Amino acid sequence: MHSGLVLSEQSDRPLYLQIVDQVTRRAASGDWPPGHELPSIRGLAADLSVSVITVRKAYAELENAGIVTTRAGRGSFVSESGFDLPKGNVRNRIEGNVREAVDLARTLGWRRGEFDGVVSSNWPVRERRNRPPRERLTRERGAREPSPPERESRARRRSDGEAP
Amino acid sequence: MSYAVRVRALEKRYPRFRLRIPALELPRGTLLGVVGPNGAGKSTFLRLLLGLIRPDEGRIEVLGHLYPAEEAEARGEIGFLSEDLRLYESASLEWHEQFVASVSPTWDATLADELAGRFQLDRSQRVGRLSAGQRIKAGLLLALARRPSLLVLDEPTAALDPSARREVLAELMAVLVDEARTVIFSSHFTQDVERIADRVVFLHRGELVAHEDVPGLLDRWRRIHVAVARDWVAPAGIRDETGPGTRTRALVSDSWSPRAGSGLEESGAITLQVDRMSLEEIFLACTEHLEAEEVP
Repeated sequence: MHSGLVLSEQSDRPLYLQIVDQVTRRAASGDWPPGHELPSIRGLAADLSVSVITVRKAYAELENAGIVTTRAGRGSFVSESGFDLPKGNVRNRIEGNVREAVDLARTLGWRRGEFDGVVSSNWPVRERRNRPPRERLTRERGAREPSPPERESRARRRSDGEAP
Repeated sequence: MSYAVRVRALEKRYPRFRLRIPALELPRGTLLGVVGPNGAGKSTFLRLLLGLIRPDEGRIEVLGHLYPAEEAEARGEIGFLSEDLRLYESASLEWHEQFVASVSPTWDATLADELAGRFQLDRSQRVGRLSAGQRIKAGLLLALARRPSLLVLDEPTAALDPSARREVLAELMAVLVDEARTVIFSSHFTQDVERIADRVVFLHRGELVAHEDVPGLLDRWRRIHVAVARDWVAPAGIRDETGPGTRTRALVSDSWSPRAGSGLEESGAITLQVDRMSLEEIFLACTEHLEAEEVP
């Protein structure tokens, strides 16, 4: 069984939070839609070669955040309202991290401009922000892959031809 | 709660070494890592649990069997794998399987077949010709096919190169999936323990230094770098590793929290960096502390 989750050993984030992050991203991106069943705790522990208690802790955290619902004896599932909740959650986390960074900068006597400089140097400007990545992908593949209406009409034509 | 192991006031004395475990309870289905340098008492502890040696004092209960009266019953439910696997070099794995099966009423031949397939073991080959990784897997097969309720592994990965080590750990996790099987394994590779163990026991010179959930332990320890006045003194509960007289210090806290963080700032320190610590760093921090106290 392969969950597709990948953990980094050298990351500053503890293993259970890496699991929380990756499941949250899957739920937020729709890779794992509401109602999607998560691997069992022991199954995921075996898959990732991490302790059962680590996965248990991650699932408890996900449940607390409302991203995952556990039904006794049936397993854990992405919550029905799972798509909205992670957004708020992610926002809270970003705000928390920024607040912490600002506090530290001010403690060290930094000026506002210095802090802004760090932020902009970490945010590459090359990125085109208005186009979601998925759309870009289909455009690049466009030459090979017919668009949905085209595919449909071709299928219809084929079935017309095959009809007796 | 059902316990795989319950130990109380345990003491084993040798002429130049003493192991003391005041109390230890391990719920069934847990994976316990036993960590400590060579000579810390890891093997002594495991051998006491296996009933291979008897304690001078204390009480041992394994899988509900009270030692020494019910040692035999317990041993029937324990699978053991040691670093120096006692295998006959000139015999095949197949021969070993038949031998173990003949003395184990719980031997599961179907599981043995399945494991041999998964571990990609050639059962007709002489054991002496197997690689280090294959030998460990052969030992694991012999231990697991008896369907033990408790699996005890003494330094199972010590002789392995990194990729074989990872493979054996992955297999170890895989066999734990379906069952509430308890595993106790000793290792001086703290990375292995940090990753796959639910709980950890730190042994140091025969003393039980810590027994705790691994994530809990990792969550509460931090190393903090601060800038302070030269005469600054660390508040209670925070250890100063650098010592007085310097403007920048490295501190260690075993009970880190946002509150501990603001307490530190209130004491006049400017926090420069807060780092999580690995299990190895935590072990060293625990034991350095002890050694410092021992000095008269």
